[in-house]
Amino acid sequence: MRRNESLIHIAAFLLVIGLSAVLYAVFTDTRPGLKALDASLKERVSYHYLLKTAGNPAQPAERKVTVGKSGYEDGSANIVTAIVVDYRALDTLGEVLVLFAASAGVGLLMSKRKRKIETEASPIVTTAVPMIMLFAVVVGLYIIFHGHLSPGGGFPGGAIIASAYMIQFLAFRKKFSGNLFKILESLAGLGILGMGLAGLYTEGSFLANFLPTGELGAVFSAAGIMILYALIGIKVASELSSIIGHFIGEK
Amino acid sequence: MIYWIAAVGIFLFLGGITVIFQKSIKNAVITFGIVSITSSLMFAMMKAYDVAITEASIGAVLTTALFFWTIKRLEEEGYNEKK
Repeated sequence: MRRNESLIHIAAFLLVIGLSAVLYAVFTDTRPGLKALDASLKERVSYHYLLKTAGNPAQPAERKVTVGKSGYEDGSANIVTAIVVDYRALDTLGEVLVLFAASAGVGLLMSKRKRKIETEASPIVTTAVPMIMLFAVVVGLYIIFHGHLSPGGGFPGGAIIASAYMIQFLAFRKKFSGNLFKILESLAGLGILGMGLAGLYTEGSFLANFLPTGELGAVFSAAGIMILYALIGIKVASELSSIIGHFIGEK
Repeated sequence: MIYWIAAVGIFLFLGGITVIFQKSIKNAVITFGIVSITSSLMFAMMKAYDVAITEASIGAVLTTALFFWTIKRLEEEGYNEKK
């Protein structure tokens, strides 16, 4: 271990040197094209987006994207979602990675225990909790699947579904086994990476939106954003549920 | 509307100070939940609806519940607040 330590230090040093060289090359690039430090607003995402018009709802033929590469990007009626999941999707992937690290840390540190208090919940609670759970799951799914139209999306929808999973611990004694969440979370993560690689293969950049957008403002439009947000919602919901289960689950 | 936002902001400020000076941890956690749900109202008043939804679900519900279960597990391990 101690003998390999210096090798690891040398490798880390070389990695830092390589990354610094890449950064230097990016910031001192003199070739034509958009620079990293360029401030020309017409090349920026916000310029295209603030010029976007959703058109007249009475005439659906006018509801299309007027600026930008029509057909692929800009398919979402919600600007924030389009920026979070389309243009800045790599940032969202990093956020999901942070949440995954938190969930893995909780799973590593928290040990399962036996519940000591042996009281049953009252019938009012045990009757009300399934209904509230159903309502919360429906609200969460609505928020996830309307992420490209209305405020919200994968993160809050996943958190609402996780809170629906949480309140069943208040009423019922339930055993927690994280296998289902592990499988769901891994599949969703693989799906996000698969979408990214498909975008890289078809469009030339990682996590590029390669699916047709459809009519702007329709429920089934912006297919790429819908699929990505559904995967993010599944991943967030399973990670938060796994954290909750590790906190209060029983052996 | 700007006066309502200012009133909610003053309430948030006083609530944040109250959280710090609570004697009991459980009271502080409950006050923190109230501050969270009020800041969700604040975000909704300032037309940031997605942030409001996230704050209401994560800040008000999940964080408060996790704080409470952490305190409960600490008490099961023998931690006593009064000591």
